[in-house]
Amino acid sequence: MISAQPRRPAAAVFLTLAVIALSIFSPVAPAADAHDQVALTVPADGANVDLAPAEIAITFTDDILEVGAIVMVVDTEEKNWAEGDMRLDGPQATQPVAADLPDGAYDVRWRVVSADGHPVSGAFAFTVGAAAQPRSQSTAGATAAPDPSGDATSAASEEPADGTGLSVVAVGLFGAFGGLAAVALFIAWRARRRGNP
Amino acid sequence: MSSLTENERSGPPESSVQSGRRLSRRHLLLGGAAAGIGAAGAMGIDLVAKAGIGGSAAPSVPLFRGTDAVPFFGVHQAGVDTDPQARVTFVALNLPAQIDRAALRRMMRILTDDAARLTQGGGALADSEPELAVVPARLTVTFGFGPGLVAVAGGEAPGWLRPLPAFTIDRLQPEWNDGDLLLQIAADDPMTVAHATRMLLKDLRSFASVRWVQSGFRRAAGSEKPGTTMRNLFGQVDGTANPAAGTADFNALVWGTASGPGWLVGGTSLVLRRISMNLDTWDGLDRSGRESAVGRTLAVGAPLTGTKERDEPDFTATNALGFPVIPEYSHLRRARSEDRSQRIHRRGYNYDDAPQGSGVSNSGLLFASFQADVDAQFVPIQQRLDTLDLLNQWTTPIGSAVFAIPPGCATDGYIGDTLF
Repeated sequence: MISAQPRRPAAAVFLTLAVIALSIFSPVAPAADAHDQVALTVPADGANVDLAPAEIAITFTDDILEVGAIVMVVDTEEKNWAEGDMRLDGPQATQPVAADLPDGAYDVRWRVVSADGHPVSGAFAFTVGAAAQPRSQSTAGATAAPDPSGDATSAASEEPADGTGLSVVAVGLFGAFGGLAAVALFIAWRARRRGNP
Repeated sequence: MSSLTENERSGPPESSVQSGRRLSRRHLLLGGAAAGIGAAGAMGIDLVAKAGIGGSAAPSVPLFRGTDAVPFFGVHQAGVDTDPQARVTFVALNLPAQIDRAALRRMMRILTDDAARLTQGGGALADSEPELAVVPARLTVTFGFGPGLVAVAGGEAPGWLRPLPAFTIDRLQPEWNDGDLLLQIAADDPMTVAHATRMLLKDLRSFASVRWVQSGFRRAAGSEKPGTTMRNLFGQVDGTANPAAGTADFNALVWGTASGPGWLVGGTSLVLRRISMNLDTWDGLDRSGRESAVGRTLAVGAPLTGTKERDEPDFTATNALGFPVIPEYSHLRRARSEDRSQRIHRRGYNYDDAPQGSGVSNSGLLFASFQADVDAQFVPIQQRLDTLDLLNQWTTPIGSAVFAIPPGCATDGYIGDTLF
């Protein structure tokens, strides 16, 4: 029992550190994401279709608002082939596409406002015709991203105006390690005292 | 932390734990406490260092002075270009059917006299509590005339002096609409507002009956740097685009004379809309969603394309996917017109009443705007917001009234003397 004692403070230090790390970083963690997600797209992400689709249909996990829905069907030249009025029906947005959509690769870029008022946006890709190569993967992917999407403005707004957020954390951590060092010294000193009464 | 508490609760009694185990828990707690104290201490030292405590820097916010008074007489009525006070009470009154022009003249003489006294820190003529009148706290009393009063007076009514056109988002409740006579009583002290309101309504007993009363608030006087744009109860900076009082821009937008009859020269118009803000559903929207709905950051009110409150919004900026950074459905985008004459001077206040039903809030905005011409300036803005504004998801206009604000008067005149 006695021989095991010196290891206990190490465990204590480790656990304490974990607790501190949690307490410092958890307030910054994003709120649970309850916004609409994409449930289904037609065409599917990455699909190759023989015939050009007459419309693009995106179904979300919940109803979307009448406000703010956009679907663009963009070719490799950045030309938008969406044409005509989008139809919104509950969780589904349907965007007609120009009738003469040529064979090739397309990105569908979309933004809708979920039922709770939060905009979500994303993109997916499809190709028309056997010969078409998928276009760049950089914007492809059907994940919902918060909008305004990762631009500097929205990221900056999470920080206090004078940008001290990081330094507060750093100073706090520095202090925490200082406090821990003091405890470790104290425990070591006590252990030595107990060893030589 | 919760797992620790859980262990303690479900673990064996303290006495049966071996000494080594007990020591380790104590070490753990001690370690946590010491780390916490260390962190707090270090951050405190850091803060003190930053704030420069011990320095002799003068406070940047002037002390609130209850004796401050705003001149009553002048070309314009006070309470329009006056830096907004902390508290307001709007009262609308109905005139009885039998009232005549001579009675209105008497009424406005009495009201003018008492308003002039009260705003300068004196009691009303027959003040029952004169001790309450000694703190004017920048009291202003602003009178407005509804279409009914102008008709009795036999004056020419400006074309815009009528209820606003119906908007699809409106859910107007008659008890907050319209009125023949309006009093806007504003001061930095709520006691002053209450006393002035009571004195003036006593004057009106034999002339008119109260139709509705709406009270509102902003931050207390002196709590913020002067000139700070107010925030509404959504937390948004509200009123950034206002013209600055005293500028040619302000004079043209607020005191402009192009559209009104002669008696209104030096006057303006007031649109007062009671806008219910559903804080309970707003709670469900996260910060970036809130900023997207209004088009401005919550922290400083900067447009989403800028960093400072007064930065010009860049509506052409797009994000990586090609969508506007300031969404086209945002309040900022919809309220803004290319036509610079379609602007207004907002002077709103918040309200926070007792919740009804299952909700926990009954709050909103007393949207008050002054503009020379309601039809040319306010209506087009409201029409754009009516057709598309994401904020409409959480806001509902429940009251609406339009008044002509007559010009000010000379010391030997009375408010409305150009009309009667």
